[in-house]
Amino acid sequence: MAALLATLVLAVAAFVWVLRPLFEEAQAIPQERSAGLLADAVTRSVQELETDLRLQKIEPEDLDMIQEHLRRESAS
Amino acid sequence: MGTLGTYALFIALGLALWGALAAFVAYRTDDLRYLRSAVRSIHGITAMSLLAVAALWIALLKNDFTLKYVWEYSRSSQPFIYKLSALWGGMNGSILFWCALLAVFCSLAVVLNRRNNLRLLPFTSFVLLLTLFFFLVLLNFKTSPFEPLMDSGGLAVKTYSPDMLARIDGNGLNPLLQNVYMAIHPPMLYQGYVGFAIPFAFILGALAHRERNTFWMRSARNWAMYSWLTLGIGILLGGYWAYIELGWGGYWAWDPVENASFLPWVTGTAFLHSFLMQEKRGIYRFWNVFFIMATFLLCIYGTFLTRSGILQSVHAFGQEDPTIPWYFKIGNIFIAFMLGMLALGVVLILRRRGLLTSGQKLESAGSRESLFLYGNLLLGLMTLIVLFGVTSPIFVRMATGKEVSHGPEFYNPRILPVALAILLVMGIASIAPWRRGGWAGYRRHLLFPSLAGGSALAVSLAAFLYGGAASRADFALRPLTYVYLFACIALSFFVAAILAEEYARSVKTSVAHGRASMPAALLSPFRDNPRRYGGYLVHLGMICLFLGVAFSGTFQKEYQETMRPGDAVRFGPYTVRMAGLNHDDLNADLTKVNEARVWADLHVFKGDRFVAHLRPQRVFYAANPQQPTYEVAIHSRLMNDFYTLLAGFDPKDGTAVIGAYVNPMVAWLWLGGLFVLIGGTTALVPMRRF
Repeated sequence: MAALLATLVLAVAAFVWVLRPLFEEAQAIPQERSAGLLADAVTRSVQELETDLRLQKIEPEDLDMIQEHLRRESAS
Repeated sequence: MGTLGTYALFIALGLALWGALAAFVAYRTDDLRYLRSAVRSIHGITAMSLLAVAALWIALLKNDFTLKYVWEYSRSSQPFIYKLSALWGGMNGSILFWCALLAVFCSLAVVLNRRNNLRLLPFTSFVLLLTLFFFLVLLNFKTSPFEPLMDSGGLAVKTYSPDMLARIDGNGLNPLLQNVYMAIHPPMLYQGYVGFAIPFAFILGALAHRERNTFWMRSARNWAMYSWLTLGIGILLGGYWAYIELGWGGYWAWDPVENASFLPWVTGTAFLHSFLMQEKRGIYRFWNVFFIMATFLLCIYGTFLTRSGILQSVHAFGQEDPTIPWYFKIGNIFIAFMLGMLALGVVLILRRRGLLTSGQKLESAGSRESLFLYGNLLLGLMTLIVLFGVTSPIFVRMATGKEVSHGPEFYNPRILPVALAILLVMGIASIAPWRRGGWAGYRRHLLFPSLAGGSALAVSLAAFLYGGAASRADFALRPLTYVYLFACIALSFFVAAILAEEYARSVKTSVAHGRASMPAALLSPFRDNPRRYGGYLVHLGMICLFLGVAFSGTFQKEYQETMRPGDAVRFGPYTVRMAGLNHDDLNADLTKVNEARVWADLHVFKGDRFVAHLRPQRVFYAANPQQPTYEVAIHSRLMNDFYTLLAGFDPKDGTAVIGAYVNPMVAWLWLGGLFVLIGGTTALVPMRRF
């Protein structure tokens, strides 16, 4: 009986906590992307490709083209 | 504890149902309140699942045999660690463990992405909650580990008097699972299986939310990398367990359940590679969606194979009662879930196919981009071969009623050429230039690796010819095995030389550009580009694995001799002197001591030099005293394992049948695993910022 009661309390508490946001003021999900994250993703890729430039695995004009593509993609 | 666990799972089921609904409403309406509620549902499920796990662990540790699961998989005298590992020793407990792990991963994923990828979370959470809901349905209605134990008269054991209850003891964990590696192997494997749900959900989330950008993929990639790593290490630990516990001298038997864990690892490998191309060039978008979907579904497929009883395997959890209606059979529930997830993925791919085209073409068949594609095609082919090998016997049995199973004779001739082609592509892709693939780009980087591969081939051919008539006779018996071996040696050295050259060039460039002094430059490739050089360490590990498999598979030697104390017998390069046959009290009550051992004391010599004292054992467990398990004893060195087992014994006259294997280069498998672990962990480290 005690276990049943404890579980009931637990269940009510869990659902009250889960449903509570529904009683807050309505708000839309922010749709903007994190600018820092976008820049970070581009920087990371460019940084890796610059390593390749030093190792002669990519030609400078190809690096420019890929960099341009990455920037365009991140802005899309 | 049973009541607490049962109710916790029931509450979790309610939360999953609500959460999935709230997440879907959030997706349709963009209402943040519903998303918050869905996210809270995930955290609530995590808390409830962990509560259920804690309840089962407490029941196992307190020997609560009123629960059927505890009675089936534990016993009073079972050591502490195996009482803990009994949580995943049986089907119901393992599904609970799986569900709890998935819930924890889901909670972590939503917390880690709540800022950067918030806009993708509604549908991502919806997919995660559907997956949790599926496992919670199983746990509540099909595979509850909190089911009470009933006696033959249909009376619940918990209604017995305390005196009667005190006399009850459990069956105990399967003796084969009472091994420390088996205590670690499933949690590692499950982390891999479960973790792939996160990138799968993120990819579907990105498609549903029309996200073309790839910035969110970094999070998905990290989850995939972690899951790939733990799955790989889990597979290797399983191989090590099979090696030391099953007493057959091998580590991989192409068992269907082993294959089922191998399949998502292969497609996960393909995903991790094509992901790099999407990140840098925006290409292979479809491949990424395809491979991560395949990986997740293959994880579920593997679970289905193990738990449905559809396959006969040392790893399977047994058959289901045939009187159960078809819609309530666990296998069919799994199939329904897999089909549902597949349909969801296919619908999203079709509706968002515009997002999956890159608009870019491959400029050259020899470019890095193309080589990654060839690698992925080969990995896809390997997946198809293994999938066919695992699945076709099921259809043959359904159609004809005949039991068919595929073993090494099916897999080896088909998989080995593909694996060798992957090895070749793995090497060449490391030096391939971006966008262009002319001979000029390759020429300057291929000289040293070609020399290394060619020299290794020449040396191994010379060693083979030096072997004389015996080598030629063996070659005549299995020519293809030798062809694969020589190809593997040549390619392994070729690729290892490429990796060494790449690393040396990177260090040299760091020094030349004044970016680091010489000692610091040795680590600079891993600091500046941990993903690539961590990846190279993984590739080095793969070379070790290839060589270990090739040599141990080709040159394993098996021996067996009956020995008495004082006898000395030659097993290949080793001489073994048996000092004695000893045993615990074999009349002891196993229900109290858990196990009784018989062992042979063997002194091993190489020439006149004493090299090891080995003690192969047989262990009698209360759970199955008629079939004592093997505890093999191995003298392990980098180039050779001397593997001994007690195949038979007679305690009365002290005779022992000693089985032995000389296994070349098996240690290279475990060494390779270590490189994979270090490399994979390195690749997870965030990149240094300039």
